[in-house]
Amino acid sequence: MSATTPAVHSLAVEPDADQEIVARCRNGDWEAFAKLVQKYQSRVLTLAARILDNRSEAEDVAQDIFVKVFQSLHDFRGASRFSTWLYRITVNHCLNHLRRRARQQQNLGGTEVEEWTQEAPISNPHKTLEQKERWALVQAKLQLLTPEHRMIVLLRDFEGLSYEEIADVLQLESGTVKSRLHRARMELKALLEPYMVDEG
Amino acid sequence: MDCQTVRDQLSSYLDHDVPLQMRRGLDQHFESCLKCRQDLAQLHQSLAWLRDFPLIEPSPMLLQHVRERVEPLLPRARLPFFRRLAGVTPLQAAAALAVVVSATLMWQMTPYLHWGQTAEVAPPSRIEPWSAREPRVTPVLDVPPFEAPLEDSFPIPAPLVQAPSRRPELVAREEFVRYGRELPMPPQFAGMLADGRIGTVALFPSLTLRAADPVQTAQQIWELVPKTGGELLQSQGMITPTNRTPRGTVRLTLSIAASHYQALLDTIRQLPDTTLTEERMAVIGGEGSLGASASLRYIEHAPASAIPPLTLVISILRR
Repeated sequence: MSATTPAVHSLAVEPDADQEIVARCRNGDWEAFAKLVQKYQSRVLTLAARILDNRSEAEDVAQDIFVKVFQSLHDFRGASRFSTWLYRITVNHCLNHLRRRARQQQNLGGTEVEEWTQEAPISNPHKTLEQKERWALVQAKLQLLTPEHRMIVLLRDFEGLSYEEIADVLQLESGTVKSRLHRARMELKALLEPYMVDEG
Repeated sequence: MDCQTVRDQLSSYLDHDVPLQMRRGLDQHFESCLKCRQDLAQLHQSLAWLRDFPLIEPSPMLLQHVRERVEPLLPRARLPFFRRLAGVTPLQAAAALAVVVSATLMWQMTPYLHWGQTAEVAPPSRIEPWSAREPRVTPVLDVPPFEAPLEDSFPIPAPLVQAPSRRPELVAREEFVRYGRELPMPPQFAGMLADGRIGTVALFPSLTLRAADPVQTAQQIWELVPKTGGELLQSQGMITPTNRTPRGTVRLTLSIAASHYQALLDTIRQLPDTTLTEERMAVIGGEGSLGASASLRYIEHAPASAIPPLTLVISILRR
């Protein structure tokens, strides 16, 4: 069994690629900031949508994230990469949003389920899964993890962050990252296992 | 090495984060233990499925909404004068214009009075009908000879915001509030009225396109809009996030300079995998406009300063 291949969706591409453009943003250069938004919007939106399990809420949260980024640029000292800092803001916003949603659901007594989790119900777990079905399945099972486990597994295995970057984003010790990631992965594996019977 | 120890190391093993000595021990164990080998394969498969998630394309409006919220935070001095003017919403501009016009009208209608004086104002003996006051509107256009109407009938435009049937309340609110804003009144142009006279009518052009990927076509059009001196007013449509399959129609509402209408049309015709299937020109007007016709060809003869922007609705269906 080979080890995991590097994730394809990583934000962290080059070490300091954004430093210059971030400096321009700090000076109130909208064009520079628009470039940053265009570069990262898809990844921020995707991560938020996977954590929140709701596309339209994720769009709202992505907007808030970029506004927050602009407002806080003067606090970004470049100790970590811009992308890591952006991830931190993203996960914090998503966590806050989940807490707010939980409070609202407690008050309303209802739950809202995003469309894609309702699509492609898995009728027979033993048949080979089509790609769309698989996305829906993995998305649905991810929602059964705690938000902390969901985020760490997404940051590592979807976004491809290193342990150190995850520790920086989630403000955790490196050892805690490893143990939490292990538990999250094993939990996800246990949830997906029944659908792998014929997959070899 | 026992199975529980191996199980505790599966995650680190996949990340190449175990010392060489332990890695050899694990490899040996996998060779002899079917259960642990299966566990490793299943964990590997789970993570491969997770990595397989596609990236979600954001709505074309995301950047614009961020801009609307960030622009007030930009240093004002850095904004050129006209950019600051551009920050005025149509509603604000209309309100300001209304105040100026009403003040002017009141000034003209009020008899000259000294401060503190009162005066009786005689009611007008008769109010002239509109037709008696012609020519009321000085045509700014050099109208070419009347040509056949663009269409046999002139439909009233459909409502611009239509809630999809699923989750109607949520979607209508979400799309109208988040992607839309108040539409300006359609601009008035000279047109041929039903009785053959030239009068003022409002033109409401709309296009129907068929595209292989409506969302991509919408984005391409959206990128074209600034080049026409216009802006995107609304963007509507639902897509399935996982594979970006549009559901129903993707609809864009644009404001464009009328003088760029034809150029935009020509460019849209050249977009890949996109076919322009219909061009409609709704004509809306007051008295005498029923059965009226007008053409954008007319307004090409008008001075650019006299042409207000057009509101153009583009519906994009999946081919």
